Amino acid sequence: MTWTRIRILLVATAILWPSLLSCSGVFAQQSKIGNLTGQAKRGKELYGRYCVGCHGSRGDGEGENAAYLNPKPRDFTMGLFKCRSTPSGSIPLDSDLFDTVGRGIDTTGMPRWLPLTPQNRADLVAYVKTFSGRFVEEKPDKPVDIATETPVTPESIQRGSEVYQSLKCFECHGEKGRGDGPSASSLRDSKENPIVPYDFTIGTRFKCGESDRDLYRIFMTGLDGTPMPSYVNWVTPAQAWDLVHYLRTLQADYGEKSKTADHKGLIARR
Amino acid sequence: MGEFIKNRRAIFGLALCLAAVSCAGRAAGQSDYTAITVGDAGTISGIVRWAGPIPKIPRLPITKNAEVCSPDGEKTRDLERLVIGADGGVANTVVYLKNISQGKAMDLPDAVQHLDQKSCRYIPHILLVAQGTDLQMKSSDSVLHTIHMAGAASNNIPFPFQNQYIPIAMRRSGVVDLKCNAGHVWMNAEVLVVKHPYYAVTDNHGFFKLTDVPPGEYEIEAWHEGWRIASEQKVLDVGSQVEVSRPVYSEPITWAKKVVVRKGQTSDVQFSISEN
Repeated sequence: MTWTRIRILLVATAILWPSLLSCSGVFAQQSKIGNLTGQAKRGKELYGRYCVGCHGSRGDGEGENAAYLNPKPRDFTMGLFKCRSTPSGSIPLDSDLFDTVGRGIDTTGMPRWLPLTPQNRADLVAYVKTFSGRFVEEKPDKPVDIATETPVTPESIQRGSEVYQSLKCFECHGEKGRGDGPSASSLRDSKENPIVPYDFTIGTRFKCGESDRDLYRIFMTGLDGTPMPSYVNWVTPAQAWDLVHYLRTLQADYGEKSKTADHKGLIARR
Repeated sequence: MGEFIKNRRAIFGLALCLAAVSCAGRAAGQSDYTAITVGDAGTISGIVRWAGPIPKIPRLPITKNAEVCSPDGEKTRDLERLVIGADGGVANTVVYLKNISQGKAMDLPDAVQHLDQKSCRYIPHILLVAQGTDLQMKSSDSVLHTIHMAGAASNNIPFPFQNQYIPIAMRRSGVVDLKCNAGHVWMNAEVLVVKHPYYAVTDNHGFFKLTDVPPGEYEIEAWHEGWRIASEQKVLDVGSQVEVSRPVYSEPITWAKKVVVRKGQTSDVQFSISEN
């Protein structure tokens, strides 16, 4: 091959590369979290070692441990994720999946994968995305805005209790937040498995975080794949903060826990 | 270098061709229908009828908010999965042209794009929404409803207040199942997100009509959601800790035919659907 032909080939490759990338789903093989770029190829190896036991080799949540777990492991092929910054119905941001891997999901079998390096977690995110065509066909919506927190006052808490009533949160979560509302026992997730509403009184971390901002985000975005819907259309930011302040009062031992909590969001609040 | 310059045009041509090929599959999936001015059009109409013995339609007990869900005092509610009129016509069947690539602009009726939740029932039961447009949803009931979508959309929207429309953009074409998680387990509806306007939902007599169809031969299909109980799913009721069973319904069924449309004429198509 002559030098000229090599140059022609290089130029053609340079011209073609962006179109091939954008049209063949190559971007779905990657993840971008801040300065980190995750690669699905590397993530596949990690997945085979750490994730396959529960989530299965096909990513369908049918790993060998799945039978013993409740709630069931996430079925990645559905492209539905609970913990998102994006509105209900949208795929999550890469950073949302990255945060979930590191944070784990309390009250479920999903541990905090902090022993894995951030690069490992970014690679896993890239690989998990390959199980659903949604990450090729769709783009995530703009994240739901989280307004600056309003002061915690008795008035705010009182208003929050009224929001809790008017939005009918008690239907699932119960009058006292014990997860025993009149609809609680009929709830099913998107795979028709029974699922329970969050019980605020037991004081465990929420599935998608523990800070006030996390709590705000949870009821504004909803937890897709579960019965928890998105209330973003129904409350103002001020009302949403009032609700956060009220929900904290349902967590009876929240003040005690916060003294030893390692999360800056928790420590900062009280 | 001279050879390089000579070949540059060829390289760009090659690049464009390959880019077009690599994108073609996706483009076809996104938009394979073109709206044109339809001049010499025809009409297709017909009836979807039930054949054979009328099956027993399962009903579920109204277990929650009876004062709102059952204003006339009924104790059970059927899931409206199979509605057969006195004349044998099958309502809620979607009839559409399968292989049409160009025709009139979107003109789906407003009534099938607006969903109401009234007396714990979805009205209408079958909705048609153009891909990329909004499904408008509201609740006329004073109790909490949630609309949990599955299939071609996955939004989960609560309706704590009455009579306020919430629009949700339907981006992917296909079927979206709707259910309520607020204890009204009998509520169900189907949304078809469609790419062209040649879709109709049969009325209570099983009648449908597709208008302004460009002359030609088409494949016409009738789609009906599954109405048979395919199996029972045993699950532990987390509230009572008692094992309960829930019906799992059969998959949707389709029936296809050929139809020829001629200028200024109405083509008649009859569908006969049955248990088998």
